[in-house]
Amino acid sequence: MKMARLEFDGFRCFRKKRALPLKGGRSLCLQAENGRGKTSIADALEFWSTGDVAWTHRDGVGLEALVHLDCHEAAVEIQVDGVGVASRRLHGNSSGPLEAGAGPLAVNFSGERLPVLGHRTMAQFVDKTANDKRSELLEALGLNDLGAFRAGVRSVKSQLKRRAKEMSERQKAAEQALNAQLGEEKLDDTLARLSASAGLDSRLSDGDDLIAWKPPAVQTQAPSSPLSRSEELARAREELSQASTDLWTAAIEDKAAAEQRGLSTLLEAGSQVMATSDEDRCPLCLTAQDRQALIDRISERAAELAATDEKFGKAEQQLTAHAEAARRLVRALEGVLSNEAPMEVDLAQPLEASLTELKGYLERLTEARAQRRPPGNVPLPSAQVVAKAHKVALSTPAAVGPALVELSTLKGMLVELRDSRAAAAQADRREAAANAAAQLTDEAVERAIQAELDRINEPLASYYAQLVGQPVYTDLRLVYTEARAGGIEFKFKWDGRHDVRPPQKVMSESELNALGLALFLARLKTDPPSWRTMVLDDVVASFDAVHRTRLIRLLVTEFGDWQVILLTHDSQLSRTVAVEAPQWQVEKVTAWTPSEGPTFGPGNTRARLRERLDSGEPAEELGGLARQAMEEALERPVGKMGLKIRHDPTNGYAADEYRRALVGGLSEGGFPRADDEILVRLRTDGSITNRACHYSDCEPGITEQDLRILLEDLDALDQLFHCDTCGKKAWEVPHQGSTRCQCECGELTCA
Amino acid sequence: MVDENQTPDPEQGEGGKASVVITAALLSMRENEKARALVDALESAWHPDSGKFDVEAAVRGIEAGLGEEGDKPQ
Repeated sequence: MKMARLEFDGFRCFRKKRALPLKGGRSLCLQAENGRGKTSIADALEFWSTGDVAWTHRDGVGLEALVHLDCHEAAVEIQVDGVGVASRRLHGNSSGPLEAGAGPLAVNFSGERLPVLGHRTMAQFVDKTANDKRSELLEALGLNDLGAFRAGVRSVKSQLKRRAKEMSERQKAAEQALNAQLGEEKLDDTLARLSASAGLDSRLSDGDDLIAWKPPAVQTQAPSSPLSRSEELARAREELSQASTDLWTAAIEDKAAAEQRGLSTLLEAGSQVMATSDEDRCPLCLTAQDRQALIDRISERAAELAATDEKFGKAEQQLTAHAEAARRLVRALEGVLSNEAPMEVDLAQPLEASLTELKGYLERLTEARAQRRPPGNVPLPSAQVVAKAHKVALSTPAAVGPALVELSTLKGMLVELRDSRAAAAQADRREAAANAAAQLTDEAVERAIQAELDRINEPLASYYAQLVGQPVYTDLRLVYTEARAGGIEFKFKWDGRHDVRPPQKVMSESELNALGLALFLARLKTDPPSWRTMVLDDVVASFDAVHRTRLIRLLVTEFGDWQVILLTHDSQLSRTVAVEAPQWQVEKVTAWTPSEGPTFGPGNTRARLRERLDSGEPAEELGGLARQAMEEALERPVGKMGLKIRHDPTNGYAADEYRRALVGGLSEGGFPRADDEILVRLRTDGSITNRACHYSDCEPGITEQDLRILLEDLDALDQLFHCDTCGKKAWEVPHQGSTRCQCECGELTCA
Repeated sequence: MVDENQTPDPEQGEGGKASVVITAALLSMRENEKARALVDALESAWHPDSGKFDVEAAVRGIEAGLGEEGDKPQ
């Protein structure tokens, strides 16, 4: 499909509707000075194809910037050759859909972006980092999903590696714990020792035996019922409560007994004094009549105290027995805490706390007995603790408990070691699998990406060579790597000796621009869009005349079946296009005003001259155009055939200089038509145009007939080099043997 | 744009290239003795429509799929 007509209305600089016909869907070279609408056309084509223009997203500009300041909406309409018309409207910031207009066939558009290369986009790509180039190219190649997949596989690999390390550390910790538990003793020896201490029926010979072993019910069996323990606990608390009461009673009686013993001693001492004294007086009160009463009172009190002496003795015995029982409870409790089996660990904390209580209680009891005073408000220990300690103390032998507990502990460690080794082995297998998967993924991805790059590399190298023609750069290609600071980057050999990467190291700006342009064209060639049209907006700013010519030749030879829209400010380039690509349409922005916008006209000067003559424009106003048309017509065969021309550094080449070069070169080269009369007539034409240009006030002035004759002569000049046999130009085949150029069949040659 | 003379083939669209490569990579993993155990989990974690890879789902799938023997799913 080719575009046959472009129409812009209210779009950027096109205040009024302007149409640009592309005859027969030809390629177009449009020359315009800066600010005269070139990029507006590129933007219009981008907007038409996608409904968006990329640069409007910068700095909050918005799509509304595409509407002319004097307009409320904009429209771009394109007629597609043989298919129909489609337009897209823009109202403010709102872009409408692509609407198929009237036409013989319905038009379907998928919104595929028209390939547009601008001067900035070309330079920007080359300046990107390798990683940015990779992102952009992979997206353009449709391979950016590979990055996500590859990153995912690598993340899985990292997680499995981390897991394997954790399992390895777990295994190491289990081994260290077991070794610490065993100390210097070997496992088998430890098992033999503990089996004997615990009184096991069958001896444990190795780790497997221990893992399979089940501890006996006495130590590890949970209490049959919490209720039975509570009942035992209640009895123990009652006994202790009674014991406290007894202790208090005993303490009181103890004190009375002491008092009684003091009084007895005093009575005996008084009686002895009375027996040996002659006086009739009490040694204590010194009153005769009270002596007997005092003796009677002391005797009475002594009798009371004697009656409680026996009871005091019993209380003392009870206190002693109770204290011993408390000590036994403490010892048993300590034994339980130090040898506690893992399954009863839920009692460990309350047991420890209550052990402190028991010890304190025992100390107070002992202290109260020694000081013969009541124990005070001593809280009783935890009922659960007491019941358990009581039970264990009464039922478990001292040596069996610790051995069983140690066996249980070892068993737990061996089970953990076995499990941790299995987990580590499994994690290692998974990690190895992930490593293999990641490696295969890396290889597949790199192969795929490099394969895509290789598809581009062949045309890339070819196009670059055609553009730059610099033999010092060889083996140019894009390479891909995922290594650190990797990505996609240009690489080439300099002078066949040095590998250079990135190209900025040695290439000039124009060479870098050529690289970006070559890559753009190579991508289009390898993955052409569904319709073969490209837009090149001012891409030759940094190129000299030779490189510009090379570009046009490249486009003609490699993209001859494409429709190229080439926008340029350079009039020399448009003349080059006219010479190198005569099948292209060459247009020019001939005028521009704020109210009208750009006006298009033929870029080919001869065509423009003819058009203006046909429009009735006075001949005397067309002298300059006529002269320019003649110069262009003569320049073409001189340039194409490589004829020598006298170099004048102070002035451009005039028409007559071109003519002389043409006449001399054709004659020397033995061109068959070197003496054709047209070459003579052009001498006269040159004089006329020269006079019209420089002496327009003189008589006779140039006439319309003069210009018509000039146009006919210029057409005849073109035919001079056209072979009637093969239909090709005399410069079709350059440089064969001693021949400077020739047509395809060889009938027209020039040495 | 659609050329009336050429019917576009969705299979040849640019998004298909990446899927082809990933499919080939997964196939090569199935043929690899070590890696084949992970393929099912990686396939289930990869969402070609969105282009996203669910790492956590892949790890869960691997842990669930690999048994004591390592290569055979439970």
